[in-house]
Amino acid sequence: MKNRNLSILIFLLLSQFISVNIFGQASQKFVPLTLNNVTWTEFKHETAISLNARYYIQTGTLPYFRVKVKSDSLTVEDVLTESLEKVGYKIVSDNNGSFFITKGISLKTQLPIGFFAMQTSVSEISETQKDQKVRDGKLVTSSVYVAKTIVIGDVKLNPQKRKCLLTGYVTGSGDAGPIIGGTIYIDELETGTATDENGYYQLKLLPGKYTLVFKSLESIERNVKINLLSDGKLDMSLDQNLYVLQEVEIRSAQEHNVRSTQMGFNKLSAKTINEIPVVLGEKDVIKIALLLPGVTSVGEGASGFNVRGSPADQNMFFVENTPVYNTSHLFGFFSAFNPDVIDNFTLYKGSIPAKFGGRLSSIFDISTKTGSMDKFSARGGISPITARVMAEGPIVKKKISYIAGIRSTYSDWVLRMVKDPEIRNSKAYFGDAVLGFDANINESNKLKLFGYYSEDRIKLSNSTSYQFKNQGASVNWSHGFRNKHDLNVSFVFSDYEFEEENSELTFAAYKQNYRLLHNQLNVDLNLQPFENHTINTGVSGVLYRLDRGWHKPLNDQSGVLPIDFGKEKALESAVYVSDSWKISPLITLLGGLRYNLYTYLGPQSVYTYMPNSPMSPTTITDTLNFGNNQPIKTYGGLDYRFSVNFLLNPNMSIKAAYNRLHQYIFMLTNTIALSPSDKWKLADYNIKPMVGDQFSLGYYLNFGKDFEGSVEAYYKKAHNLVEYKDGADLVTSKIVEWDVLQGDLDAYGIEFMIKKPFGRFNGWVNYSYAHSSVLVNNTTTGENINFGQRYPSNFEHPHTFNLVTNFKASRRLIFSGNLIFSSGRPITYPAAIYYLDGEKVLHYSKRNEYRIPNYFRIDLAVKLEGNLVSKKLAHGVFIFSVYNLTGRKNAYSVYFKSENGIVNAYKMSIFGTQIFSITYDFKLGNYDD
Amino acid sequence: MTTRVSILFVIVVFFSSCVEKYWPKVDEYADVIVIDGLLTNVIEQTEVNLSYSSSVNVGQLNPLSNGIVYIEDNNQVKFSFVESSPGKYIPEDALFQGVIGNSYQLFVELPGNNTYQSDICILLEPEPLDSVFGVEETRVVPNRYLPQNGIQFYLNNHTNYSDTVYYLWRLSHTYKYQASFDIDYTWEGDFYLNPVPDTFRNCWRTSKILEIFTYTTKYLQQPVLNRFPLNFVSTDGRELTIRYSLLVSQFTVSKPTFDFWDILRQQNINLSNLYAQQPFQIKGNIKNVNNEDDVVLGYFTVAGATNKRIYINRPSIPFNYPICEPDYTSMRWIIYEPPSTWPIYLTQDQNTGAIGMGAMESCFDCRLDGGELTPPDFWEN
Repeated sequence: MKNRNLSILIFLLLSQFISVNIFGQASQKFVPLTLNNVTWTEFKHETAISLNARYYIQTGTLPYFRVKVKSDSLTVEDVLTESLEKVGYKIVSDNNGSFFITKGISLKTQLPIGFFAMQTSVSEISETQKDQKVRDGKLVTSSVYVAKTIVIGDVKLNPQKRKCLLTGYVTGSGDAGPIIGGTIYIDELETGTATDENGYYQLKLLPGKYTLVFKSLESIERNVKINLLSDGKLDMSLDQNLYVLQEVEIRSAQEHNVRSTQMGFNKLSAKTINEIPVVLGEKDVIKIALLLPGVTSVGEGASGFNVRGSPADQNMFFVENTPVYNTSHLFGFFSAFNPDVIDNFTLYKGSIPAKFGGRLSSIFDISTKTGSMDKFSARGGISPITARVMAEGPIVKKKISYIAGIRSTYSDWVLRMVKDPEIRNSKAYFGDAVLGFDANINESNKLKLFGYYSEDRIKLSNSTSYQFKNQGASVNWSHGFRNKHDLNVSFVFSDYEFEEENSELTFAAYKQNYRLLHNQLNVDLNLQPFENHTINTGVSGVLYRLDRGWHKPLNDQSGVLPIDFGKEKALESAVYVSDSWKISPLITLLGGLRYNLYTYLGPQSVYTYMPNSPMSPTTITDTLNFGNNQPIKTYGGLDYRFSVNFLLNPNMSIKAAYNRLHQYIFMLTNTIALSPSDKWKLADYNIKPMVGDQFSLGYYLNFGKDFEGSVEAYYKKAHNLVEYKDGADLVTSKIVEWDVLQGDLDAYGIEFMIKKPFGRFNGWVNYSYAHSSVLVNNTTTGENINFGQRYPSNFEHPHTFNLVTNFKASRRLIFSGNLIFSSGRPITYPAAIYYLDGEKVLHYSKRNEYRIPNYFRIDLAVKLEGNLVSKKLAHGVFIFSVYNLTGRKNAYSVYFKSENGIVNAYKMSIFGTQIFSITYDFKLGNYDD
Repeated sequence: MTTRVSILFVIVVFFSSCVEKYWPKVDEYADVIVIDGLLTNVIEQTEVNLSYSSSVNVGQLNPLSNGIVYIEDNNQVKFSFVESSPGKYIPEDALFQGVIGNSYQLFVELPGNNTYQSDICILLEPEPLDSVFGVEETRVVPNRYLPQNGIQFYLNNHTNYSDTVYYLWRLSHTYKYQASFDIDYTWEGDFYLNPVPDTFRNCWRTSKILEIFTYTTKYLQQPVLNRFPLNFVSTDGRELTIRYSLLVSQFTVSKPTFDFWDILRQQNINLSNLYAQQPFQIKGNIKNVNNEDDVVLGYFTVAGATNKRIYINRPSIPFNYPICEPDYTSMRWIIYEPPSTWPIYLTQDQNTGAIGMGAMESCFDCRLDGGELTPPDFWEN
């Protein structure tokens, strides 16, 4: 705030020169002796009333002191100088009764150097600003610079209108020195220059009106309109940007709320991610996404999440363009992304840009940090579950940088301390690593290499073990031309594999594996041919190679029949174009088309079946054999994107959107939440790809100082959803079409959100009402699920409420809290008991006919920053958090179990008590370097 | 199954989760007819049980009497059943046994003019049951510090059948056990010496093991089951204290029959963590002829059966079953015991001669724990 206030002061001072001097009293009047020895607060109050004095204090507060009025002929300035000068404050007054108290630097009573000082010209203040001055009768304390035109030179000195030379110095405000390498960009000409080591610049321009944009890395950008008449000088002082980049980014998100055509869009920065309390102090992007409207999960610890009533396999995860197929560690308890490396994430759940495709419900796009080009830095942390460290720095200064992060659990020893032998013999290890290289090849070419690795090794007692591995890499090249257009080319590779070993039955001990390879090439072009059009176009191709794996004997004693589930291959290519067209200042239209061409490739043998009958071994009519890379089946699909934004006023808009998407890969699952060993499967000869449509309508409002509000309603439908038949045999189900049915998913809902993205007190609150249901009833073949009746999705939570708050008590002390409520998920309960052979057995209700109890939780965290000493080696942060403060035993599941002939019902809670944790984070350097 | 339990274990410990009893409000489903039929090639194994389902919270058996039950084979020969006890119907011909290779259909006529009939089921060839044996094992029990000792029973079998075999096992056990004390004296206003102190000391108890066991050779290269786990009997009870006998009935059934029981098994042990399969209403093979939409629970199981019985004596592993302690201190109050409590059984310490009471009558009378004083006919000492 320091410099912001300073610039206000400077601005105010400047305005004194043209303002009408009506209220000039306090500066001349004497301070009454009655005010001797009062506190500063009293003094301020009294003089404001009796002398009409106004005080502007640079730092906001003054040290505690008592005012000494030693005679009755002292002015306010005299009195304050007497008290404050010795502690380094300067007091300057004007004729309006305003007193400016600054520390260190003294304000000038004339135009300060480095502001609009012109040797051969005078400045003009725009009419509106003049009006404002007079009307208010006092100083305008807006921090926004009203556009003004600065006249430089004299038309008489350049009657031939030759090119003029404009020169000047750019300096940082206050006592900061020259700004080196700052840019001066001329908007109208799309050219510019940069300052030299002295902050000096020069420009040769034809006389005329220009908009100059002054900016540098460490300063706040400033736009200045000039009317250049002849050679002249324009010095510029830029406010230092003391804030870290992250806050600037949030500001850009602010505009999205009302003005963008984006709907169902959330972007959160690393800062926000870091401030929200999470279980066991383990920062987690997915857990934070669950606090956004329309995002739910089946239960605590379920892997993946559900966006607007869609199954988890309809979400796509990208980290730097690299798809991640297994997003969680330890069966879903932690997400597989190292929080230190994450810069921000964006969740598209409403209008998904045309450049993304292949998933019906959402795109979760994670951007990682770019390594510092200037100096080495490192950070890390220790939580009860993991330890992590991240390092970054230049390889070639200003040219090439690296960033590397690694995280690993040491949970094994926790398990080993447990007395229970079954747990003591269990092992749970997970870890992940990220490596990135960024190269600024030149002004217009950038290259980013990115690599990702995550691993889980879990051994349960001595009978079952799992191993999950996710690796990915991407090469991203971006080329900007003419500062308007940019081309992004990326080549992406991703590999997800798992292995499961099961030795519960010695004679049938088995091992099974699975692997999914994803290779992708993207060429994406952003064009801005005209001022009011933004065109995004490109092509993308994905080659999927699935090894559905083997189910084979684990050892010699095992007599399991080896089954090869076979391999699959498919190519999904797409070409897309979208245009965001600002028809008028109030209406923006976005239209996009994406054509997907999906080809299921050989080698493969596929069955054909009798028409209009269930696909089963008995209805096979023919077997078709295909050779390597021979197209087996091609599905073409046209995606639509359409959205419109009507800006009702600068702070209010209405948006509508329609999307159609296609999805060619899905998760084979029949468990309540995704299970660790669920496998991805490609659309094939007999299983059709999924198609989804979503309509949404929203109202957006920015109000108050910093509040953003929105209401979004949506209706969506997905066709060809794949569901397992009741009682399908999953272990050895090789021919998938025998065991699945395809149905429709319907979802609708309304989401209310109010967000205060910044300020000392920030956060958001949202409420969603949502429904989601599935219908599987093939009337042609007579096959159905749940007797052909519609049933609620496993993850339907009609009411959800999330409150996320952050309060910065001081720069070192931050409090944050969450409050979460959601309706219980649907569940199939036993509806009756009956006896078979003397044993009680359960007769279940219709699918998802009942609900588990509602969910409610409060979390709190206190973040304690280390000291703010300016020069130190490292900075530490302690985060104390309590998860589930009320200790409510939230139901994770309710189940029934027949024990010795008696049926018992149990409710299980995962976090049935308060979970306290301490996390220590550190970084080299200071607070917010 | 164990995998899921283990996942749960890890979760429980890792995240201090908890499990508590909880009865959700489940709207009572209308009483549904349950027809539970079994027909095998073994004498006295064929029976049909008729009942109504009950609500989950009550869970009692509601027998259905006065039904007309008969079966018909593929030669249109009809075999009538009689109700031997409420809801239990057995063949009129006590020596009835199914014929391997024949097909059977079950018919049930109930008051209200409702006729139920099953699908036609073939009685498959029984498969050999090579061996049943017990192995001393310890196992971990949730919420218990010490592991449990006991005997895990296994079976080995093989088949010469070339196609997939679907197995179902039903288990019943019989064990000899003792009450804690001999009755040395009785108190009936005075002390009387009991001439036969062990009158109520030794009992034999037979009961079904209420667990469903299924397996199929579908997943195996060689259709050989080696150490297929059956029941576990812990030393927390008295089953293994003297002599224990396990009867294993191995049923060879058709695929639909197997599927029914296998799903039922999975749903009954379903721990319902989130990786559990979605439960659903299982359809049996019996329908109401008068109303096809009527829900009928239960199954008519036709199976080729092989029985095997084994015996084991008390194993030399630690036992942990509750034993009565003689109560000597209360003896002084015995004269105040009202006559309605007479006779009071008393035990005498062999060494000290001290006479003591027991906390419960079952400390002296083993019948009160469900057994009978005479061994069953098949019992081998």
